[in-house]
Amino acid sequence: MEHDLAAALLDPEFPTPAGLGGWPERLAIHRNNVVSGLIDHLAAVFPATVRIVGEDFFRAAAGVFVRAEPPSSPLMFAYGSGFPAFLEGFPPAKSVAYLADVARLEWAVYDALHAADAAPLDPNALGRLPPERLDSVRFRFHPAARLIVSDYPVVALFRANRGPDAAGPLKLDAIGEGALVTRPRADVAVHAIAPATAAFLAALQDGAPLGAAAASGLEADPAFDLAASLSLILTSGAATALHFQE
Amino acid sequence: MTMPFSAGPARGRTKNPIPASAGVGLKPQHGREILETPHGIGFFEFHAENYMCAGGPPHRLLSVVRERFFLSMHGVGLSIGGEGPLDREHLQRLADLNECYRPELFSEHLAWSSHGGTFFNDLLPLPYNAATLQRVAAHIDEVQAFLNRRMLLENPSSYVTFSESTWSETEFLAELVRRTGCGLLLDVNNVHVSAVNQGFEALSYLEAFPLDAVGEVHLAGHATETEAGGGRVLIDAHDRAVADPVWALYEVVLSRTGPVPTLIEWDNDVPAFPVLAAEAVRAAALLQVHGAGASDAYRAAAGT
Repeated sequence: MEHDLAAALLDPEFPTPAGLGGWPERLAIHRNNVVSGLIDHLAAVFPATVRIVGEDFFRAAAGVFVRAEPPSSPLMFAYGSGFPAFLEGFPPAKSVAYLADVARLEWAVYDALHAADAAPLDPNALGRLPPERLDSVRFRFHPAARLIVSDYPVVALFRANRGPDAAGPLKLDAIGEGALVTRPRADVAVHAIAPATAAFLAALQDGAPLGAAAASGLEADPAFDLAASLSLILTSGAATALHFQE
Repeated sequence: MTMPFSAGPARGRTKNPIPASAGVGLKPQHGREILETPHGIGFFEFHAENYMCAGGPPHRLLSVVRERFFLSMHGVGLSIGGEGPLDREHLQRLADLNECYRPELFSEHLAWSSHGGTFFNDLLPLPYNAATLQRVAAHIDEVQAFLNRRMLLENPSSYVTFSESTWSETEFLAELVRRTGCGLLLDVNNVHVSAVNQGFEALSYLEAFPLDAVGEVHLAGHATETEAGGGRVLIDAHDRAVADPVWALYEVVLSRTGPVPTLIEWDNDVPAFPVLAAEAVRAAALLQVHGAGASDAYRAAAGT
C-alpha cells in the first residue's frame, strides 16, 4: 500500500492505488502537498533565480527537478543543493547562461546560514608571523565560507534580483567575477571578487600555501592584488586559523 | 552531530511538564519581538528538523528562547507510521536536540513521510488495522526508549481512507496509548478537517477520544476547497487564523480535559507577530475560563 502511494505521489500517471477506500481522487491533495511544498521550498531558497526567469518558468523547472530528485532525508535545509546543476543541464533554461551561477550563489548563501559556528581568525595573526614563514602558511577556512567562480557578474546579478527594487539594466558583457560568501557570526555577507582573487582563494581553500596560492592569482591576472585579497580574508571572516601542515 | 550551545535549565518530567498556557510556533522572523517585547506567550514550539543543522542563526535563536521560555519540540519527519524501520540516524539527531535543548514537550505524528529513500515532506496516511497497530506501537516504544522520555502522538488530518482499515482512529490511538504509555497531542483543527472531509461528527470523535492522555492541544487554520462534485474539502493548510468551528470544538475539549498546554500553528503565510500572539491570547482566555471551571468542578466533587 505504502509503496503504491509513494509511487503515485510523484508520478501523476501512476494509477490510483486500489486500497484507497473513500475519495481516492483526494490523493491529489497529497500530491499537491508534496510537489507544491517542495517547489515552494526551492522558491524560498532561490528568490533571485525566480525573479530572473519568472514565477511560472521557475515553478515548471522546479517541478521537473522535484520529481527527478526528491529529498532523500527529512532535513529540508539540505534540499536544493543539486538544483543549480540541474538548471545548468535544463534545456529550456539554456538561453539564460548565467542562471546556474546565480543559483549556485543563492545556494551558498542559504547553506552558509546552516553551517557550523566558528570564531573568525584574528585579523592580526598574519602580521605576527616572521616574514620568512609567510610563503608556507596555510589557512583553515570557516565552515560557512563558500567560494563561487563565474564567467558572469554573478554578484551584481544576485544583488539586482534579491533587493526590494526591480532589477536595473546590467551589462552582461562585463567580465566574470567571483563571490566569497562568509558568515563570521550571525549574518551572511556576499563579497564580489575579481577572477584572480577567486583563483587565489580557490587555491588556498584547496590547501595550497600562501606562496603557491599567490602564484595562482598572478597567473590568472598579472595585476592580481595580493594585499587587498589578504585583507579580504582577514576582514571577512573567511578563515578561522593559520597552520603549516602539509 | 555536536550541538554548539549548552542546554537550558533541566526541568523534571512530571505528568504536566509545563503550565497549561497558550504557545505559538517559533518563527525566525519573529525572533526580535519574541525576545524584546512583552507578549505573555507561555511556550514556543519548534520543528525539530529545522534545528538539525550544524550551527548558525537557527541555533542562536533557539538557545536564547530556551533560556527564557518553555519549549516544545515537534518532529515532522520521523515517519512513525511508516512500513519500514525507523531511521536510526534521524532518531539520533532527535536525541541530540532533546539532550541539547531539553524541551519540556516532545511530539510527532501518526503518519509516514519517507519511503524507499525518498522524503515526501508531507504527513501521509496509513490504514488502521492489527498489523499497522503493532508496527506503530513498536516504533513508539523505540522512540520513547531511545529518547528516554514520553512522547505525544498527534492525530492526523485526513483526506482519504483505506479499505484495509478495521479500527477507528480513536480506537487505534487509545490502543497505542494503552500499549506504549505515550501521550497524545490532540490537534483540534485536524479533528474538524477530518470530520468535514469524511462526513463524521467531530463531537462523536471527541466522545471516543482518549482525552485522559492529552498532553497538548494544537489549533490551526485550514483552507476550504470545492471538489469536482461540488462538495467541500478542508485542507490543513496552517496558513490563516483558527476558524470559528475549531474554537468552538476547542471549548468542548477544554470543558472535558480542563486546561491543557495549547499551541497556535501558523506555518504558511506567517503573519506579523502581534497577529499570531493575538490568537494565543484568545486561547489563553479560554484556558483561564475553563481552568476556573475545572477547579470549581473539582472542589464540588471533592466536597471542599
